[in-house]
Amino acid sequence: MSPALALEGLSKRYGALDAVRDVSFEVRPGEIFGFLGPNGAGKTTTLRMVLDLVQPTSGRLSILGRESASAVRNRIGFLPEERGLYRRMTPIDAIVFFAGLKGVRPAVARKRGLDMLEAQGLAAAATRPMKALSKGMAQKVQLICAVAHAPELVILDEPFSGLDPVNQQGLEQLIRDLAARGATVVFSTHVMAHAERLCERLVLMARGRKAFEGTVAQARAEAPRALILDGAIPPEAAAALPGVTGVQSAPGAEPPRLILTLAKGARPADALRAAFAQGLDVQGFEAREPSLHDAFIILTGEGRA
Amino acid sequence: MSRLWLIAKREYLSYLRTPGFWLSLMIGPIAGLIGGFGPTFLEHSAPAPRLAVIDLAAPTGAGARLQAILTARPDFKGQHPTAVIRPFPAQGDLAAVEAQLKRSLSDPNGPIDAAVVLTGAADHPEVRFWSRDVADNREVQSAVADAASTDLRLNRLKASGISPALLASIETAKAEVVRFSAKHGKSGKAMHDIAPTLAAFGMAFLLWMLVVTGAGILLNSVIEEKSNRILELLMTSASTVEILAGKIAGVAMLALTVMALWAGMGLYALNHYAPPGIADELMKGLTANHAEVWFLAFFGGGYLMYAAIVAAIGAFCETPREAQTLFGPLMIVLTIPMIFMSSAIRHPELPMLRLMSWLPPFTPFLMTARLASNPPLWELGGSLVLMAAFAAGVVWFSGRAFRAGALSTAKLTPAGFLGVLVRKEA
Repeated sequence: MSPALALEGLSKRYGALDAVRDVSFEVRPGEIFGFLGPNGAGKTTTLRMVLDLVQPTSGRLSILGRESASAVRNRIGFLPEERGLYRRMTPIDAIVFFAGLKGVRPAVARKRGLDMLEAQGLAAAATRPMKALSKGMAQKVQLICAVAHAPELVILDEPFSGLDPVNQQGLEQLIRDLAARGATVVFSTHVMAHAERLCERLVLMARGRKAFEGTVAQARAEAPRALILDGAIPPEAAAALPGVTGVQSAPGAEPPRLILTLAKGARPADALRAAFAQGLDVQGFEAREPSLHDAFIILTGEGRA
Repeated sequence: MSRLWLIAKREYLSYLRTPGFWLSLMIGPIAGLIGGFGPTFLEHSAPAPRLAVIDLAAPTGAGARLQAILTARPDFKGQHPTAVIRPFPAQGDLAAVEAQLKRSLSDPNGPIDAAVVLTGAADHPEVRFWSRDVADNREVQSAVADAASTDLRLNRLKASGISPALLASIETAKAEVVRFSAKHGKSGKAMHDIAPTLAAFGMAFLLWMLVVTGAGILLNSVIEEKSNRILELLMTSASTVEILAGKIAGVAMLALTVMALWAGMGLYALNHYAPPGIADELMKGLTANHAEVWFLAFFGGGYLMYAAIVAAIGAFCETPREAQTLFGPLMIVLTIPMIFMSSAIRHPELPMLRLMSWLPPFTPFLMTARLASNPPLWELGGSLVLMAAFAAGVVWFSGRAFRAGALSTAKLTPAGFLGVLVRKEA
């Protein structure tokens, strides 16, 4: 099956600044794909190139089988990072207008829009002007505008920013629903928790380059595991245990606590077995798997900054 | 339904629903009424100035004669006379009288507003006109000068032995001028000749108003979309051409709605309140030599030219204040034809005006204003083709600038705006 989106050596240069350098990856049809990276990593520029809003300096891309998003714009839904709608327009009129631009007949768009507004708890706000809605409500309306034409590919640029936890949860569900009905969803974020819960695969961007591409599990495997030991254990002795690359004391813990960072591929059980064998005062222990956030820090080099 | 039509419809309906649209719709005719009748109303709203005639000349009755000549003038009669004669009890020599006048005229509630003091001999009179301020009562001063000259003339004619009967007949002798024109070849109905002129001026002025109003609406609309980040979203849903053309078409529909409503109001007013026949003559003027077709062609080109530029400016701006830096110079360009429009009506064949009407930014207004003089077809056609070519270039450039501006987050500078011309990609 051909990819929904494929980038090949895509680069964008603004004068002396390399905003995006030689980025390649593929998004499979029907998957939820995370496009992660810290602020200024080149995520938005890449998405703007994908959407044909910015011309790449070099490289190629394929989107829904075509070379340009302009050729398939009716099959794409887009939520920009900086959001806004016509302030005097009502949500339902905005949905009908934007769906109309994507080729949906007004009656169909109206029916679909009202259903989606109701599903998001916004039925009562359907005919109120946008300027009367809260930021969270307006953001949901804009998302509905982006997907009311049932696109095959949905591109969401930082969709969770500015939303409270309850609305973030609602948005996560909406993204799952889109994927469940067969749409491919690409979303950018710098909040790893969302990606961890939603994504099957992801790309991590750092300083305009692709730093990682793979599954969430593969990304986490890039980060070291940790072993937590409680007890009166000398840090030097802990540092000498097999596979340990770093030791940190947890301040104020009772009994004293050490957090041991393990080398990539090292097993916590080996270090623990050695600690018991050496008669160290191990009163409690816990093997901690790395989170995507840990992987993000390692892969993007943010921790080194 | 095409995207262009959807964008145009949204543009049209969104502005049509605002109170601002209905206000501006009403302001046009109100401004016209104020402009047309305001000065006359202002003149009539003030009481007629009170004029005193003080005769200090030799006892020849110059004062009485001047007063008689003035009161016999048509403009000193009726409901709104130029002035009314009032007595002023002044005594003493010239210095004493003028001192009293000065005191009286310094008082805003004084008994008179102006005075004429006659001194000197009958055949060599000195007429001294007094008013509160030098700029006051110019019309009264002119009437007094006229009347004094008439008296002097009559006196001298009488002194040369001409009989009073002959003098009276000389005074009442007046040639009657009957108007003819090469265009109509007949006399009497002055409206025949001035109707095309009035119609052409009206059309040129209407075109100017519509371009300026449309440009303002378009500028605000694009700024709103830019500042609310809607333009970027639109650009993922439609091409730049569709967005730009849709917005321009939507505002053009608004302008045409305004034009139709104003025309309707004008026709109603002409049919109900103007003297009989005026409406017919004006309609003939509007359609003389296919003026209405040329008007629509010049309106189309002119509107497209200015609308495209304004849309491009708006795409770079997030606030009206930012837009002023570029919209200001454009308004100056738009003011130039306004200055020359009245000359184009009165002297349509002036070489300078003919040259200016070939300059595409001025063509729509000046050529429309010159329509009354029935310019040669080659001039009309040639300037229209030149304007169309220029408009096409402007639209092409503005399309690039619009896209660059819509996707740009950089601050607007004139250099940045013009840089779009030379940049390979925005």
